[in-house]
This record gives sequence, C-alpha cells and structure tokens, in this order.
Amino acid sequence: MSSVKCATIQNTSGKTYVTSIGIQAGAILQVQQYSYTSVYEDTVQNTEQNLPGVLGDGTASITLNNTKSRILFTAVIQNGQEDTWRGNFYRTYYGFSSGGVTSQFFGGFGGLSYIASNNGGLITNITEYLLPCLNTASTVYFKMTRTGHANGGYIHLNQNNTTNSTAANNQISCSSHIILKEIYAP
Amino acid sequence: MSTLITNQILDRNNNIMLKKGGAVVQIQQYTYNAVYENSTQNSEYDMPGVLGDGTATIIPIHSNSRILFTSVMQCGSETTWRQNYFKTFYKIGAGAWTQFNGSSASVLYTDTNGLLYSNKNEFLLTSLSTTSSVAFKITQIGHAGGGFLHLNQNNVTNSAAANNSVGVHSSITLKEISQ
Repeated sequence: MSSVKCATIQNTSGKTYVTSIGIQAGAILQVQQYSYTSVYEDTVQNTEQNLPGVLGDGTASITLNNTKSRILFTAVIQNGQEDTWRGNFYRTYYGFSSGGVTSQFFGGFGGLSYIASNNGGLITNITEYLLPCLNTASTVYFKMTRTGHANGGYIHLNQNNTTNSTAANNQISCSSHIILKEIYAP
Repeated sequence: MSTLITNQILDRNNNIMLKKGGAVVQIQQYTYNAVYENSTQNSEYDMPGVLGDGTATIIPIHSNSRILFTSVMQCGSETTWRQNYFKTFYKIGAGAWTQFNGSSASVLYTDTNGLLYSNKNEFLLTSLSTTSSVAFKITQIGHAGGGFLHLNQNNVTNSAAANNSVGVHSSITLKEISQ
C-alpha cells in the first residue's frame, strides 16, 4: 500500500482543495453500522437493562486509524407504542473490550410515544454525539441501555402496526441501529 | 491533468488524513418544502415530489461503495393525533424497487393545531455493486385510526391552515461512502 505525506493538495490550477487544517473537523475516515430489526418487548420499568442484540451486547465496534481521531456516534431507536404512552430513556457507553463497555458518555436520549386509546404507533428517535479523542488506535466498543419510565416504560422496540393492534409486527421493516464514524483530527 | 493514485494520504504527523475506505465521496440532497396533505389512512402512497417520484438519485463513483441514506420528514399535527409510517426503497437503473431498513415513523398527540415534529433517520446500505444511477423513494402509510398526513405544515397559532410558517423542508440526503 502506498502513502503520500503532504500538507496540502492542489489541483493543476494551484487551487487548494484539501489541507490538513481545513479538513480538521470534517473528514470521515470510515463508517460502521450495527443494525437490529427484530421486535423486542420488555415490561420492566425504572430499571436499567442492556438493549438486545448488537445494540446492547458490546459488539458494536470501530477500529480507529489514528490515535487522535474522534468518533461520531449516531443512534437510531424505533420506539413502538401501545395505549396509552411509552417513555424510555437510553444511556450510551463505550469501552476498549467487548465485555468492558462501561464508560458512559453524553449520547443519551429519550423516546416518547403517546396515543390515547390506540395501539400500533411508532416514533423514530435519532441522536448524534461527537466523542472527545480517546487516544487510541485500537478497537472501541459501544452499547446502549434503556430504562423505562416508572409509570409508562414498557418498550416495544421496532414494533409497528398500521391498525389498532398490539401484535409484535415490524410492518414497515424499520431498523434500530448504531452508526459509528471515525472523524479525522490532526 | 495528472492523476496520483494512492490508498491513503497522511498528514505531516503520520495521521491518516484521507483514505479510500470510509471517505464520503459525494453528497446529493433532494428537498420538498410545499405543504402536502393526505387524508387516506392505512394505504401506502408515494410521497410527493422528489421524495416519492424516483428522481432522488445518486450515481456511485465506485461499484463497491455503500450509500448512507438520510431522510428528514417534517410532520405537522392537527387535533387529536397523527401517526404516519415512512417506508424506504431503492432501485438500480430501470430495475425494480427494493425495500430497505431505512423506514421511520412519526407520532404526534395534541389537543391543538399547528404543531410540527421533525423526524430524521439514517441508514447505511450494503454495497449495491453498481456504478449505475441508484434512485430512492419514500412511501407513506397513515395509521388506520389517525393517519392523516400534513407534511411540512406548521402554524405558530392554533390553526389548521396549510402554511409552512417556519420554512421547513423534508428531504432525502444521499452520501456515497467508499470502501
């Protein structure tokens, strides 16, 4: 593999279109995605639990190219609804081994879906957080947990029905997922 | 014009500044800012304009690239509740539409009119192994009990008028990610 070291890249007219400073906050070096499409339901409220599958088992990972890189974390959670309301909170963690994803960061968010006397609704929640530099070129692992509100915190992840139904369907084939982007930082 | 072929470019401190795998090669965006309303429920419809007519396209530069699909749906409300689902499809060239897992949904419940909720979703497709034009579209299904759609509609007063008072747009954004 060849490598070119430079401070700027110019076209043949001498116009600079890439500089190491100019792309400091913007260059994406890689994108990874971990997707979960099954319907997952849980009636535990006010207790923190790992989300199912790749969302919460610590296998969502990215191996950084540079120790100075930052990670742009994106989470998409599809919050299904059953009469009357469902309120869930999501915490976000990273770590340097799959079994050691224990460092919480401020990527947390909440999802609220409310329809009186009807079922089957869904709301898409997305959040994005740029982590500080983690000073590693190793693999960084992520997971999410959820805590249901004490009064209405059942979760119906990816569940949706276009009629008044509580069936465990994903009619629109939605996905809840984690997207990880490595952001260049010199 | 000369061409320099390499797999990655380093800065003077040996940090990888650009590399082939993972770079955003191009971005295309298609926006729709008119108010669109549909009172049909529990039936699937193409979204209006560029959101649903198949003209939102990207031509990958590399055949093994992946496409990062982003949708923003601005869903207006009228009393009492509105629940809409949005399904996502792509097709290569003149091929058939294929659904992918970029679907999203919006729910609003309020006893007043004029409110708006912005829904965003992002999904990284697998490589489509093509350098032909890839088209995208979104379809809409309203919940059987409260599925009217008021796309881009918003009023800062208790009004059900078809206004886009704050100037929002619903959009599809397509990014080619090299591998």
